[in-house]
Amino acid sequence: MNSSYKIRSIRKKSLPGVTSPVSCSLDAILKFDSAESPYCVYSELVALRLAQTIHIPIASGVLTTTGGGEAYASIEIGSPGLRLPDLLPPQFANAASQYANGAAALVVFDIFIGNWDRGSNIKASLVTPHLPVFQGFDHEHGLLGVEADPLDSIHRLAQSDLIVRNHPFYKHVPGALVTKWVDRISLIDDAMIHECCELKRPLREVSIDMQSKLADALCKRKLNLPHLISSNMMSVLSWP
Amino acid sequence: MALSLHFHVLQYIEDPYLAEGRNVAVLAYHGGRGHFRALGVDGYKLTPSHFKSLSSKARDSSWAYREWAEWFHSLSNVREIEQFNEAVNRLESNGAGLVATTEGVVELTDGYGDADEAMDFLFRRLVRAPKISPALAFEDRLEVVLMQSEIAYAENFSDEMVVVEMVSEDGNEVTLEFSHLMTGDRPIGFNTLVMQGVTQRYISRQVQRISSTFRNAVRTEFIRPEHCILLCGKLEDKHQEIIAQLSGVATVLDVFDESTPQRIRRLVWPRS
Repeated sequence: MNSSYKIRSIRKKSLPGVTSPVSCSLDAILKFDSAESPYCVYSELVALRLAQTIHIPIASGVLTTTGGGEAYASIEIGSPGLRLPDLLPPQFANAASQYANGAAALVVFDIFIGNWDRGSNIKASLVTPHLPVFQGFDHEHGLLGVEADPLDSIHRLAQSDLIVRNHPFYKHVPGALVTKWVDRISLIDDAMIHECCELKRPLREVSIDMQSKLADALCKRKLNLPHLISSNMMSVLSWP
Repeated sequence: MALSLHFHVLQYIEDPYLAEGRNVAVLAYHGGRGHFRALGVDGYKLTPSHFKSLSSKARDSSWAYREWAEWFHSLSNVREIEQFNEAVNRLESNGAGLVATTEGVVELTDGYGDADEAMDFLFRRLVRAPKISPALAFEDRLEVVLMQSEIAYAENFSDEMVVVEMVSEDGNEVTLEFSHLMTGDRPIGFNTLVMQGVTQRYISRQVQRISSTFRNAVRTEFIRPEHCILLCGKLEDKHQEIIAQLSGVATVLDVFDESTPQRIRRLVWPRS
């Protein structure tokens, strides 16, 4: 995996160890649950766990605690002084062409988790060939955030509903790569999906029961993926 | 008829806690497309030293600024004002890096000119051109030379410092440091030497280090003598003694010489 996370500081004192480790701090964007996005922290965390399980290129992050409770810290991508810009619409085709496999992975993953708000939430290096960077971020509108009510979100995910009507890489991804990612997601073990969704404890407003229902919905949705893609081929895939 | 141009100023803010910024770009939407003027960006040509000169962190971020230059060009291809405004809104919410901090409006009067002239005027007024050190001017020129010679595009060319550990005939470990390296069956090692804006003592130390690396590289048979290349500049008459000293261990090329890209090409690909 190629990536470049921003280091804020490196402490000069080395820690003991044969690899001469040093402690450092990375820049991150802290995200909290809010009235507008009440399940943001859980959705971000589970999107990351699912993405890492299937190797979808999204920015790494960690669960952390602040004065307001648990929050999600999305690690910033860029160099020490400068984060990368978010992609603009005129860059979508170029990014999809340079990172064809990653773009196809993001399209299928977004459909899988119902993330209808990919928009410009992508970091990509387009003119630095020796440092390939391609990562999606921001998944609060997927999973429990598809609808305002989390149970409605779970219900919609379990149905045969594309949910993602617009996507920056729609019509820019070839069918063969999309099929590859559909196959990969369809073949994930149900137990693995449950492990990604179920934290064995409530997380803020998200109960254990809700987590289990979300996992059940995703297990159904993974099987629906081939049908979702084939019935929306004209909108999703590029022409050969 | 008077029209107005609504512009946004972009600052480079390194430390979100201090929130001290330097103006680096001006953005505007006018006439159905985006417009920009940005530090070191002239059409599709980017002079990295302008941004690098802002700070040491900025110096390490030149690759990211190149991505921003590409982004600025794409912004000028944005046709819908909603997309332009969304991009600017995202820049406003940035705490650090490139942040849209202020905005304003200028009138485009009949006598004043068009959007391009207004952007030039705003850029001159709002963005101060930085002073470029000789070391950064050298880096700019070196980048151009590596691209013009086309070795920058070779898959086996390393554009970053490379350290090679070798064992000499007498069994001692030898460390070789190259500013750039072309790997393969017959590696080609490069080192660089800035001649301006540095002390004589600094130059002497560098000459010693570079000579030692090239000698050891040849002695350990890591590199052939003709594949040791020193890229330096600018060479002046007062540097004759140094050059004579280095010429015995490397091919010395002045990066500011117009023929240097061609000479590098001949050294790297002699049969082409």
